Amino acid sequence: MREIIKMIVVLAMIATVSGASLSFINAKTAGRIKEQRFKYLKEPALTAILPEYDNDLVKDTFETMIGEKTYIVYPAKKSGVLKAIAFEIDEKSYGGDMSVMVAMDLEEKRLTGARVTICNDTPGLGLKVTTDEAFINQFSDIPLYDQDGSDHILSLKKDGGGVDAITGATISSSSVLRAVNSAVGIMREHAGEIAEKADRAGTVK
Amino acid sequence: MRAVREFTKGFWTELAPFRLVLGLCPVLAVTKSMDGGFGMGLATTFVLVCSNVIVSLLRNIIPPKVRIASFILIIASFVVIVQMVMEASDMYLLYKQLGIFIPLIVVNCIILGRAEAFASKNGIFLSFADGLGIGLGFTMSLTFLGAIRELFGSGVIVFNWMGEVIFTFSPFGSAYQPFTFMQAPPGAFICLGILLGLMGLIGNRQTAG
Repeated sequence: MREIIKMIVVLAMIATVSGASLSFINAKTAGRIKEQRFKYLKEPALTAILPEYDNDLVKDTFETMIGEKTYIVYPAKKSGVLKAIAFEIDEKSYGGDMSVMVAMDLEEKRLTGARVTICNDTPGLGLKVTTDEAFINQFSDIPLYDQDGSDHILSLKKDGGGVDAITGATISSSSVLRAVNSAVGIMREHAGEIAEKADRAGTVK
Repeated sequence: MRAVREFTKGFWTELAPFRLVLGLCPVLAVTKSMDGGFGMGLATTFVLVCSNVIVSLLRNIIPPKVRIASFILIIASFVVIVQMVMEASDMYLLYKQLGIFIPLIVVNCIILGRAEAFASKNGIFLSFADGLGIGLGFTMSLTFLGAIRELFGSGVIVFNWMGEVIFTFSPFGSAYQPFTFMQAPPGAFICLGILLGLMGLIGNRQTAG
C-alpha cells in the first residue's frame, strides 16, 4: 500500500512540475511563435502576390466559414480602402497536402497571383511548383471571369488549357490549378460576404 | 578521472549511431544535409543532458516500478521545451526542416537508454558528462553523415545556421552531376551501411592490433 501511494505521489509530482514549466514556457513563447509562423510561412507569399497595401495583415486577418471549411482571409487595404484579399486553399497533391495562397483584386476582378505555401513533393522535381517563376507567373494578372460571365477555368496544356505544367510534376501542377479554380469559385459565391467582413476587419477589436 | 572517461567514451567506444547502432530514426531521416544533422544533434544533446541530470537527481526518489513512465515524462517535457524554443527563435527554418523529427526525439532510444542504463545509477556530475559525451558523439555522427550525403547528393555543401550561410563547400566544380539518390531515403541506408562497415573494420583492426 505504501509503495502504491509513493508511486502515485512521485509521478504526480513529476507531472505537475513538467506541466507547470511547459505552460510557463508556452506563455513566454506563444506570441513569438505566432509571429514567426506568419513571417516565414505566409508573409513572403502574401507580399509577392498582393498588390501594394499599407495595413497590418496580422491585425486585420479574419476567419470565415464557407461550407464546412474555415478559411483565413488576409485583406489588403490602401488608405483604408479594401483593394484585394488573399486566402489559402488546401488541396490533395503528390506526397500529401498542399496549400496554395491565392490573391484577388476585388475591383478589377482579377487574379493577382498564387503561391504554393505547403508542398511535400520531391525536392528538385515537384517542389519546383513553389519556386519556378515561369510556372508561378502564369497565375498573375488574369481575369477571374470569362467574357460570358462564367468562371475562367484554368487547365493544363495537355488538357487543352493554357497553363504549362512543371516537367515531371503534373500532379502537383494540376493541384495548384484546382486550388486556384476553387478559390475563384468561392469568390463568385461569397465575394459580398467576404468583402463585408474585410471592411470591418481591424476596426472592431 | 572517471568523468573524463565517461565523457570521451561517447566519441568512439560507445559512439551511439555507429558503434551501438542506436537512435537510427533521426540518423537516417534528417541527414539529408549537414546543417540538418548538426541541428538535430544539438537538439538531441540538449534533451539528453537535461534528462540525464534530472533523472540522476531524482534517482533515489523514483520508485523502480514507475521509473520508465517517469523518465518518459521528464524526456517529453524537455523535448517540448526544445520544440517551442526553436520555433520561437531564429532557428525557425531549421525547426521547419527537421519537422516531425523534433517531437520524435521523445522516442529516441539513446535518451531513454542513457537514463535507464547510466543516469539512474550514477551521480549528477557523471551523468552530465555521460550525456554531453554521448550527445556530442551523436551530433558528430549526424553532421558527418549529413555532410557526405549532401556533398555527393547535391555536389555542394551549404551550411545554413540561424538564417545565415556559414560556409559553402563545393570541391567538384560545376561539371559534377549530382547523385540525388544519396539524399533520398534509400541513400541513407546505403551510406549508413558503408560507414558501419568501415567503423567495424577499424574497430576490428584496433582489437586485433
